[in-house]
Amino acid sequence: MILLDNISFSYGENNIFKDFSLEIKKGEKICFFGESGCGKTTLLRILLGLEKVDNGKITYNGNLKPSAVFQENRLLPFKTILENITVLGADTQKAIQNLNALGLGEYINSKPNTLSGGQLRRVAIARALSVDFDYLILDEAFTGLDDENIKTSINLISQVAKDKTIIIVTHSLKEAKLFNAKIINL
Amino acid sequence: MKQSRKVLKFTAILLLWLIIWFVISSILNKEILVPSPISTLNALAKLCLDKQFYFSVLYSLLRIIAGYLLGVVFGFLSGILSNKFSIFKAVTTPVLQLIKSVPVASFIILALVWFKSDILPIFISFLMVMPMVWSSVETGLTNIDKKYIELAQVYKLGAAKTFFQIKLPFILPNLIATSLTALGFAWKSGIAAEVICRPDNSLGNMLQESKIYIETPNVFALTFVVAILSLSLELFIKRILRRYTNDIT
Repeated sequence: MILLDNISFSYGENNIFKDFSLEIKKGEKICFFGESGCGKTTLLRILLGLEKVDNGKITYNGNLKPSAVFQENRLLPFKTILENITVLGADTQKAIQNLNALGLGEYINSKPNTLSGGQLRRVAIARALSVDFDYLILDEAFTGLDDENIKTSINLISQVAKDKTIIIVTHSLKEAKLFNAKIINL
Repeated sequence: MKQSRKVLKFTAILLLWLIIWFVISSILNKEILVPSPISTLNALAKLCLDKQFYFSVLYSLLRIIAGYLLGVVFGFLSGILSNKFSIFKAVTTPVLQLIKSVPVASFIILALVWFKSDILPIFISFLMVMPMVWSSVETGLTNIDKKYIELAQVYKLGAAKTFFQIKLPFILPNLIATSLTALGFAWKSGIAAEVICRPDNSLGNMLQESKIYIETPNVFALTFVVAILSLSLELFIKRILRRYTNDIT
């Protein structure tokens, strides 16, 4: 369980949240919805420990391990696709299995600059699923993917992270519905 | 086919410059000013028969490589510290600027007071290399996209793994280029220091003696040796670095 208790966050003078509270239960699927600039990504960054709140408290039930698909792919250009996943501590077999499931099996030894935008996005998804995690953050994870690949990716995520907490930011209500996620308007 | 064309082109250019050199020395007709390629070759042959010459080459190489390696290691560590601790950067930046802006000859003369003539070329080579590597590492680390560092933070990679698996490969191409440029500087400044402080068994000392006795063909021959050694050293280090970096990146 993750508990956000009256958190406030601002960028300089710009208040992003004020006294925001939320309880995220283990295994829950949550989707943050809202206009651009309302703080969806900031909230995810707070949950990943990349931003510190000005006020309030965040409580994690135990030593929870996060995993994330960021808005950008964040793949290391000098490593192969497989190395990009294993460097984060993922099991090699698990990584290969996930890459195969997303149709990327033949690219495991390729460098990121040889793959298309959609393929790189799927690598980022495979990477997030291959590490050991307790909660998964998906920040516009399916941008640039066609319907078929979105469906395949969501199926894999639902299967791998079946009992795990998933926190999603998306502009597509359709994607949120495919996850059966609880929608929270920001 | 391509390779033989390259060799042919290189030989043609070399021949052209040899002819230019020959023409100039013939027009001047003064061996003291510009010796002919033949007398330079003669001087080089004489040097090759002299045992002392090989000792000088060996000791000059050892001194300069020692200074260079010390400069690379200290520059590398200082660059990391500078990037990590702002106070370290603030305190050391003026020193770094000073080293960069003061002419090497001033340092050589000043260091003559502090060091024995054997050590001085090492110190001068070190002094030339260290700030270059330092700046390269510090700037390289500062310019790494923070998004990759965040990735390491989220997955709790730890400082050592983050450095060796993410940061180092990012800064390596620029660091290699800087290290190779620094090698040229180390070599030039090291020989210059030897010319001024004249340690035993050194190419610099041999150069200075040839100058004193107005043996210009010898000066030319020694300069040729220095240039060839510098190029060979650069190629050798390039090879080592390439093998190493293939493992890292």
